[in-house]
Amino acid sequence: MVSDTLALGNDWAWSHHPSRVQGAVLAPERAVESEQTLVEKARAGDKQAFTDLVERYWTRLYRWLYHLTHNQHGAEDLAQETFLKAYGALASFRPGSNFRAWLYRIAYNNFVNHWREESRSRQPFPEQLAAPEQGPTEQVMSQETLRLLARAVGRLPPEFRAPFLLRVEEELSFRQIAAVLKITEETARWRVFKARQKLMNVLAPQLDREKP
Amino acid sequence: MNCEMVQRRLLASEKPDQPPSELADHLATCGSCQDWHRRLLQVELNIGLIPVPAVPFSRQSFLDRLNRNKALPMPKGELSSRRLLRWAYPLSGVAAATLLFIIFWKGHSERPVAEAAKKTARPDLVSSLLARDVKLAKASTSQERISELSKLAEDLQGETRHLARVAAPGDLLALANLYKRVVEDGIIKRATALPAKDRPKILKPIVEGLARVRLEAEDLAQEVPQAAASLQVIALAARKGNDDLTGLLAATKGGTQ
Repeated sequence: MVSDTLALGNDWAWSHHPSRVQGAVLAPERAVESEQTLVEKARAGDKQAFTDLVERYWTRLYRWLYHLTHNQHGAEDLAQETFLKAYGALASFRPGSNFRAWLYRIAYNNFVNHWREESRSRQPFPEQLAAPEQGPTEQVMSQETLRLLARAVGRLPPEFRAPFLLRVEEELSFRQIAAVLKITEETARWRVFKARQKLMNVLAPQLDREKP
Repeated sequence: MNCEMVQRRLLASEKPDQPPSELADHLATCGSCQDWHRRLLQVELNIGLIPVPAVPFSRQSFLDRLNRNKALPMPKGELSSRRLLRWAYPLSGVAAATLLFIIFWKGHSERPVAEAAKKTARPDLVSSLLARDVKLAKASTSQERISELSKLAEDLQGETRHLARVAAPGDLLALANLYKRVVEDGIIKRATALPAKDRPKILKPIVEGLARVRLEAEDLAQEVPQAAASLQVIALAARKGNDDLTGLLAATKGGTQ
């Protein structure tokens, strides 16, 4: 399995989104078909199939929950609870529907039920971070800008942050985002719009400074 | 089409990196919007690079548990009870602590459980507790949670009584203290969150059950003196639970809560 964790030689290991890890590219059609098979098998009681689903979604789900909670342990607990609930509710999953959206809806419900009102103490941004060598180099930000971006994302209102990350990291459509967050498609579009607008306003000066 | 309109449409687009033709035409001729568009794509591209702290053990721990469906694994090098408790927290603070203790107790008790106890302990207790935790995690209402906690308490006090004659006193006492925690921190706390109209129907059977547990524990404590301390803990917890829930029902009936 492609490692998505960077060890920094201290107590913390930091991870990027799996899609941004070298070698993690999957053929979308094959991935979707494979997931449908896995879900069917899991619903039939195949534990290994559910294990494969957990392997597939654990890191990305945890990342999203971390961005919502700003708390490592909280995100970890919510991720575990989500998969546990999903395992127990497989029988209610409608075959053919979007498993990822279903999983994230469970996660979001857990977040709303258990965490939303908790005070959040943000984890510190790592002091050292090796920039991954992939993609157009001019598109990869400096550490300082990445730090600013992380802070700006963290300061987005949760109702904007959640759909924005579902759109950008999970590539869910506005319709799927609406289903996850139980809002209308138009509201999902509006919130992503506002999130992008805020981020662009905050980062514009820094990005201009870095412009080659 | 002016720049502001183009940028707003891109911000609202599902895929700003694939602008429709009318927007692409504008971008092709407007340097300012080209720069702006490039910054937008750069921002979105780098979102995935924002680091988050990794949790190397929790996924594997979860998977190990799922696949074994018997004992909960302990993360390598991290044997503290605090770590174990936090790992199981999402199930339910009380039920998870109980489940963890049961597993830890069976495998790692400081005073070895008597061979007779190991042989007579209900072999499906761990599986039933695991199933109970799955239901607890699935429970979405206070009623469902109280129902599962009540069953969990039954399992715990039943196990304690079952092992009263053979288990080490220290182990029994720890088991009894867990029963106490389930009743006081689980059932009683959640009972106050129940809608008033639902309380009689849900709580009356539990009240009756607690009264029965108290009497049975007190009786057994007289028969098995070596287990009296543990059985008294159960009896007292059951009595307190009974008193508190009875008081809550009376207050509900009187319209004060």
